[in-house]
Amino acid sequence: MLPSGVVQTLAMAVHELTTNAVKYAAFSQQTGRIDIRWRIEVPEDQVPWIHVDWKESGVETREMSAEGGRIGNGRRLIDEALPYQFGARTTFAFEADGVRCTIALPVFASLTEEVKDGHFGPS
Amino acid sequence: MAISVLRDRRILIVEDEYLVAMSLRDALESLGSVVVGPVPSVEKAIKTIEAGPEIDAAIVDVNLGGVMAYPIADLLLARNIPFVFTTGYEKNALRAGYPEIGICHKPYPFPKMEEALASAMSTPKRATIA
Repeated sequence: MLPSGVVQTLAMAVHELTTNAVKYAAFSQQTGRIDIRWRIEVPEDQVPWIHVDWKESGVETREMSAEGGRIGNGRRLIDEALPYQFGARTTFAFEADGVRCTIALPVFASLTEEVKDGHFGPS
Repeated sequence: MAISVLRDRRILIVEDEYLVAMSLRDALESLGSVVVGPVPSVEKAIKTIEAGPEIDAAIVDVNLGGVMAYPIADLLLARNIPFVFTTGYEKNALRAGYPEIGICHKPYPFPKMEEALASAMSTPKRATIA
């Protein structure tokens, strides 16, 4: 279970990506698609990490750049706020056929303990 | 406008919330302070203080992602560096042992922090640490 602070910021990031997609990218074009995957990885003897992979395809990048192709505060959230506040590792790029964004967040051990106990922990 | 006593002073910001940290940075820079950090954790704060160059003052959020900032406070006291606590929690949630340290309760208007920092910096440094 993710702590509420992480959920809030992660949700804001997803919201910004979605808004960007609707306005400029995948969801603004007939051919656009978004592939979103997430998984948990547990490196040996370390805390689990949640990985979110956002990949757009079928997007006319020329149109994207013509529309501005940037998401301002949302970009700052992904590039700066998530790494600063939660030790996340993030990437964001305008690729040939759409936006590609990856977010990896450590989920601290105490939180997994709480999940095991079936409790909601304080944030 | 009067020149702030914080001008040209090296002020460390220890604050885990990104948006709060950024707004503090902007506000201090507008007074002409040299902002050190911001840093979001006890570990990074201690590393920054020890690495130098020496800071003139610090703003320390008491709760850093669930970890209490007391080791930072103790290090600052040991080095005679003035600082101000900030917290979103009640006053009695702060561990006893820092009677002389000012606290800004969130949310606070920035001038209140400026005042608290100026006050902390004007207090004569103690010759010895208890």
